[in-house]
Amino acid sequence: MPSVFKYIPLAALSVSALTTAAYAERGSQGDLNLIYWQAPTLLNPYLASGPKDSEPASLVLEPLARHDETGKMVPWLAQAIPTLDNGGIAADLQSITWVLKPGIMWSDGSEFTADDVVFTANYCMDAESGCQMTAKFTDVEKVEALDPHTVKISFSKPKPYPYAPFVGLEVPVLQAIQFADCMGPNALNCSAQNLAPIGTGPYQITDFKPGDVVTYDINPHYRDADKPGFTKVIIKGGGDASGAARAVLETGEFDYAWNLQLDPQVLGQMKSAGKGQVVSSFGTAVERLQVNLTNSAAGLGDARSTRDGGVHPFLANPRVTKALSLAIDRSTLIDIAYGDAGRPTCDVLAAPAIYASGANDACLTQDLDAARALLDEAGWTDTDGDGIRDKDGVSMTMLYQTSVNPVRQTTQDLLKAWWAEIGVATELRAIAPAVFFGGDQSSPDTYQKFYADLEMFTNFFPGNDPEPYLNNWACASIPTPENGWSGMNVPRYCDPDYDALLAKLGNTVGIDERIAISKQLNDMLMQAGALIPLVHRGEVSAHANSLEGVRMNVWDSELWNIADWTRDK
Amino acid sequence: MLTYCLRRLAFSVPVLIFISFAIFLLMDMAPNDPTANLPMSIPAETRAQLREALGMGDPLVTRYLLWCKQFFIHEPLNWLTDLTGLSFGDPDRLRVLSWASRAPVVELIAERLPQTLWVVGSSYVIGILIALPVGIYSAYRQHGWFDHLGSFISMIGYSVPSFFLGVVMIVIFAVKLNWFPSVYDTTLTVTGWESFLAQLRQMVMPVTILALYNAAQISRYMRASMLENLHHDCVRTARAKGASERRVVLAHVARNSMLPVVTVIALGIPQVLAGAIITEQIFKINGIGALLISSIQSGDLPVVQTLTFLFAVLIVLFNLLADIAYGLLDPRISYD
Repeated sequence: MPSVFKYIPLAALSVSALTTAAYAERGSQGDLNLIYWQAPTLLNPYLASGPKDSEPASLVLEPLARHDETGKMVPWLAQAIPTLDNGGIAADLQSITWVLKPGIMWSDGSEFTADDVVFTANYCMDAESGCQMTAKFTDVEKVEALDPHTVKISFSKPKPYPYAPFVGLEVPVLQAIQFADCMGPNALNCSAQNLAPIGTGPYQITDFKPGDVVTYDINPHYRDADKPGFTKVIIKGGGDASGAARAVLETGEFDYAWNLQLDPQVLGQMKSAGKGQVVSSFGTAVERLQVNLTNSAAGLGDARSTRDGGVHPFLANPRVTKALSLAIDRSTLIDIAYGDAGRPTCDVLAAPAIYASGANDACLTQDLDAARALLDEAGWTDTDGDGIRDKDGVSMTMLYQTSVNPVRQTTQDLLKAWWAEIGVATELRAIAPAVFFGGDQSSPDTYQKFYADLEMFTNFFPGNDPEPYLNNWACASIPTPENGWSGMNVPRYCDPDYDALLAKLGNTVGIDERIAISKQLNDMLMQAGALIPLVHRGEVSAHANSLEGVRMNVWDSELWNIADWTRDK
Repeated sequence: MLTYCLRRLAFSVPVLIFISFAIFLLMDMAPNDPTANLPMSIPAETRAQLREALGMGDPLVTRYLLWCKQFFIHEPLNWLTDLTGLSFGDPDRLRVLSWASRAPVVELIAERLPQTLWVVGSSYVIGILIALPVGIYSAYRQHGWFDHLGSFISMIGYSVPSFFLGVVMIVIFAVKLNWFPSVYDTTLTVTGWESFLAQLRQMVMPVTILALYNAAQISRYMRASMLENLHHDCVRTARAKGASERRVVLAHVARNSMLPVVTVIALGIPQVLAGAIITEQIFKINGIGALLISSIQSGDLPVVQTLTFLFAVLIVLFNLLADIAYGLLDPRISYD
């Protein structure tokens, strides 16, 4: 009997906690401390920046529509998502019309209008501004204000998916008055504006020390009178992922830590201190091996790693890449290196779920015997008895490179061991990220020059339309000395059928048909062995047990609903 | 003395100009790209445009001269304007801007300097204050228990890396005991007793680690130098004259032994201002050291160039100061 009574006060407490959360007043929740170990340096997402900058900016700057945690579009500064049905998208697919919510104010008290949206588009589309989001405005011909609350975006050709401009955290609306003097070449020199943009979001910036800390307080003109809950927000940067995780999970100094790609054991141990929770969310990011289908032999000179230099002695054979893929135990790899942050996958287009093909799932189970059989079939056997397969005097030895990163080096070691079991030798190489991902023409070590047989990194696509992503493997996107080694078709894959299907995708409107074509494109890439997908990667963050309302979102800013966050007291 | 100083200063100008150009060349030749850290979804044309907008397409000499103009002419003028309130020349002149944050580099450094001075500076002072007496007494009682203990502790301070010691301290004092914070709060301003105590609390761990290292290093120098001087004839003479032991050790031996130690201390000061890269990273102090390392990682050439150049200036300056201190400590040395 007494045991029943023991729970009554607790239950009463939790009910009262719920009611305070539901009826929270603006600013009633105290201070909120977040830690972004990669410190924000710039709060204007249009200039050179990454998620470490655009997420802290998302407390202030808002787009017309966001993605929620399931990847679904939700209207934000707009009243509704324009569609063909509601007339927001023109029947010829050449324009989209957004209607803005009325009565929205900037944090300085001025009114938010369609002119701000038009200004932002012109700001980014100016070729001299150094705007990094120009790809979001591809084919945009004109952005005009039909009236103070209506914006029409016209495209130069029919756009089956017109939701690139002003959807998502990377393309928010800037205040026209504040940025008036920052057009074109001046954009990069507007320090004051770029470090403290005025926005419509729940918070405004009170102080920003680049590379260190951002301090916010409540935007007094925020549209919802009851929100946000927290009075003051601090985003602290610096240190590393394990220090950030410790500050939330072990010492409790911080309420939220972002981007915690850590050894699963380390994270698990910290979690056991009981102060916080680890949350993850899966987007479109896939860690993959890029297979060099061309010959990377150093003796080829300028033709090295180009289609002119001829095909790769063994990797161009899909049987061989299939064998390499089958030799990998993806589940073990994830247990050791990724933990909550990874799921095995055999598709390079692994998400959104409706686009996942699943036709290549045979690789999910490791099968060393089948892998050996495939190599035997391909004619690669160990004739000289040195443990490494060979054929016509060529030995199956591969150079496998990636960027310096503990998880990637662990992966390299594991893969090397598995491949040794099927008689393939691997030489490993790790390159500093700034060099590997850099575009320095004089460096032989960039991922695009690909002077190796295999390389590994993650790629993803923002939003939920895979068309630009699938365009990466068109023949025209192959990096060559002629185009300055630009282009994302790193495997040097070129198939006229693939290109034809891509063109068809560009002209297809129906979502079901788009999905079917996208799956087909994914399968073509997989069957040709251009890529070996390893891990569908998620984002991992941690928050204090007392923090409520977190809806971890990989499709947009993780802080997208920060106005709803509260503290369970 | 004055002419000597002026001559040395005049000579350091071409040296510094040469250094600045050498740094610029090195940075330019290093395979680094400020757009490398951007998300992969950003296309190559946009990256090329970005690099163009940052001025990376200009010839090397143009970029170097532009930096010189911004750093040697614009920045001092801005400083004068701020200082005097008068306006000198064009108020819109371009400053040295960081590529990563688009903020003036000088302001970034000014923001980072307080925490570096608080933490690294005070650890240096504490380190010296510990090292000198320890060094003197260890040498005076050579092979005594104090000497052995001192040697043992300085061996630890010297050989245990700060990234290990720092994490161990965090696990013990921040996670288990909850005495000190593991994250340094740079927004804290000291306004009264309470905030001063908070400041002390967050400084304890990083200062201890750095002071231990500094004390270990300097006490060894002090001890070695003392041992050398303790056996000089002048010491025997002083004792024979009947001077007290205290006077013999402090006035005759210690003063002479200070010479090499002063050089070590003076040459260590530029490193104080350069910050402590690893310790700052562990405790998230975000001082000068953290600024330098993050700028190197993101290929932020203007920040790295300006910082390394300032370090070069400091090193040249403190070399000169060490030489002047020689003259003051040792009357035999004269520069005239």
